[in-house]
Order: sequence, then C-alpha cells, then structure tokens
Amino acid sequence: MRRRARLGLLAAAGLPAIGAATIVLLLSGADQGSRSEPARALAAPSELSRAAAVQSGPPELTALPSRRPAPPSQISIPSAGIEAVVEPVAARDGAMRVPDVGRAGWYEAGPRPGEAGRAVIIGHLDRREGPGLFARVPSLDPGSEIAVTDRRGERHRYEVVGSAQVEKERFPTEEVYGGSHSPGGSPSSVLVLVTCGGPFEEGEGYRDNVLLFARAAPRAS
Amino acid sequence: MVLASILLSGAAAEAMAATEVRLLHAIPGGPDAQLQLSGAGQPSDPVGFGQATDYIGASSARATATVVVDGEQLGGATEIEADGRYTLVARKNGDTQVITLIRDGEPTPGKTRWRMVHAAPEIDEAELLLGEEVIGRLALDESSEYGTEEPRAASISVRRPGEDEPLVEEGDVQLVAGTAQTAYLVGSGGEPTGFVVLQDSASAPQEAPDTGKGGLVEAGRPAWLAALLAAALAAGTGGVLYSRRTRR
Repeated sequence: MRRRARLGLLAAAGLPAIGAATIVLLLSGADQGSRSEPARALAAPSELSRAAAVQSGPPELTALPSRRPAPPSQISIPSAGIEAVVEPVAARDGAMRVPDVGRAGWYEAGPRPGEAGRAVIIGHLDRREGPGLFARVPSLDPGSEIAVTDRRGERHRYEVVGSAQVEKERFPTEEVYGGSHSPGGSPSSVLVLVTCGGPFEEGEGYRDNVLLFARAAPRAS
Repeated sequence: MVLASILLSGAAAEAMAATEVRLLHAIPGGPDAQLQLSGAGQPSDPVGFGQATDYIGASSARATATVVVDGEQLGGATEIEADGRYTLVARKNGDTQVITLIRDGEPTPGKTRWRMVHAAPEIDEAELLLGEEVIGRLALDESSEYGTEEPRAASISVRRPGEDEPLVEEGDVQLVAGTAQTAYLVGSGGEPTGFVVLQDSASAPQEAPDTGKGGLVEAGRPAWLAALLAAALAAGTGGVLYSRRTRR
C-alpha cells in the first residue's frame, strides 16, 4: 500500500515536471535557434561575385565630391535601428582590430565613405551578454538605406545591393577590400559592412562572416 | 620573333606570400588572349584589347607564364622566380610580339601609390603628367617608380617632351585610398591610344575579423534555468495535489 502511494506521488510530481520542462525547452529552443544562427546559407562563389560586383548608379546622380571626405564619425541604419559612433580601426596581427562594443569600426587604411573605392565598416553581431550593434545587419534587405556622417558633418548615403555569408577560413579579401579591379575613370564608392554569422562554437567563435555590399545612393537634387 | 623583357620595379621588400600574375592585352586589333600559369590549372578567361585578366595564383614562387591566343602560345614563355604580384603586358611592335613582365607594388595605408607604364609603340619618349605636375619621362616599355599621392580624382596625360599639348589625356581617374595603381599607356595600330588603369593591390588584413562573442547563443542558457524552475514548480504542485487527494 505504502509502495503504491509512493509510486503515485512520483507520478503526480514527475509527469507534470517533465511536461513543463519539455514545453519550456521547446519554446526557448525555437527562439534560440532563430537568434544564434541567422537563417542564411553560405554564399556560392557566383553569389558572392554578384553581390560584390557593386556598381554605382548613373554618374551624374552619384558624382563624388570634389574634395576628399573627412573620416567617418557616425553610422545610421534606420531599418535596423542602428545609430552609432564610428571609430577608425587598423589591422593588427593580420586581422582588423575590432571596435569597442557598441561602436562600429572603419578600416582606416582604406577609402573613406564617400570617396572612390571600398570603405569597410565592421561591427559586433553580439557580445557575451546579448545582441551586438550589427545583430540586425545580416537581415537587411536590398534597398535598405545606410548613412555615414563624416567629421565635417557631411552625410554619405548608400543603399544595400546584396549580401553574402562566407566562411572565415575563406574570407574573400579582394571582394571586401578591392585590390585587383580596375578603378577606370568611372567614380564608384562602395560600402562594405562586415559582421559575424553562422554557427557559434565556444572557444572557436563564429564560423562565418556576413558581408553586406552597398552602393552610393543617388544624390538628392 | 619574340622579345621578352623584364621590368622588375620594386625591391624584394615588396615580396608577398605567393606568386600571382595577370595579363594585360595591349595588342591593337589582336584576338582575345588568355593567361596560362604553370601550376594554376585552368587558363584565365579570355580578354580583348585594353582589358586585363584577374590575377591568377601559382602554386609556387617559381612559375612559367604564357599568353595563349586561339589555343596556341603567343611568343615565348616568361619565367618568374620570386614571390609577388606581376602583370604580363602583351603588345605588338610591327611584326614583333613583345611580352613584358612587370612587378606590381604593395599599397600604402590611407594613400595611393601610383605609377605609369609606357606600352604604346607609336609614341616614342613621353612626358607623364599627373594633373599639371610632370612626373617624369618614359621610353617605350619603361615603367615609372611608384609615387605616393593623396587619394582624389585626377587627370593623367602624356605629351611629347617640350610640347604643351597632350597626346593623350584622361580626366577623373580615381586615385583610390589604400591601393597601388598603374596607368598603362596602350594603343595605336588602329586602336585609339589611351590609358588602362588597373589596381595592383589594396591594403587589406589577411584574416577575417572576429566580430562575435556568442551572446546570442548564450542567451539560450536561461532557458535551462527556466525549464528547471518550471519542472520544480510542476512537481511541487503535482505532489501537493496528490497528497491532499490521498489524505481524503
């Protein structure tokens, strides 16, 4: 009789416990999956080439300013809720130094936003405690607007044309920073945003980078 | 008849990790050409006059580069014996195929390194100008040294020494920050003489940036705590209800 009572108590306490834990884990698992690993596939080489082959719009609408722009100081991406300070960053030990959390980093050895060439700005996908400044960059749609304000207060506007997720081990340096493409005589100002993506492994970090390519937006008349 | 000449501009200090070569097609009226590099597998995509292939990487520092037209080798093979980036310029002088190997330079962070190469046989010695500034004189097949410039849009031109009027001029050439660039003077022989401006290299970290710390993943940890708490609460409730029922 006592044994039957014990079994009953075990069932009355254990079954609801298992059920409750399962429900909580299922709900949180769905949530975690969508946040930890953006729903993106690695880009095929042709897809990367297409996204990286950014061309400016008609020259008369995107003409570069006659004087060199100042270094960038602020980045704004309204559709991603991003409004942040941009600090210059350099390369150290073969990799770009990452900016402070909450700030974006502009690769100062390359072009400035607003001038010819590929200006590169990086930001954290996340930090230890949660989402980072560029957490929503991987989900930006083509056509999304990006504005970079320089130290003289001039705004340089871009629109997203494509993105690609690539393995860090196969980081496409030429597509991101340029290097062998002909600048020719046509002005072309490109902005490349870089953040992390793909699966995360403790001790290893994220496997991939997400690259977002944007071209200079037509100037307001 | 083949004349292969080598212009090695830049010192060994500019050596890079691997050997990469591209082809600039500077044969006016010539058919499309491809670059074949030993140890590189497939040849490059074909390019026409005034175009350059992408750089092709060789499997070792020593490599042999050949120019291929319609499946046949044009001229002789060019031996490369040191790491670095090179441009193979294929041009024609009368019936002579001239293949010139030029060593490409590395960039200066935040500035533009810029030079000019003379590959237009119908122009003899030429005076080179960047904007209004004369930066030197070049004979055919010669290359200027790289100069360091502020990034900007600039006009480039050539003129005969002692003359004021430019023979060839191109405005709004972009001097891109953090790159090394070369303006090749090509043409004549039925094609207009002009400049082909190519980027030789760009300032670039070789490794991918580490812009994630796993916070989005770690946000899942409290789920286990929530599951544990939910399980304890459900167990407690179940146990209490069961006890009350059995006491009755």
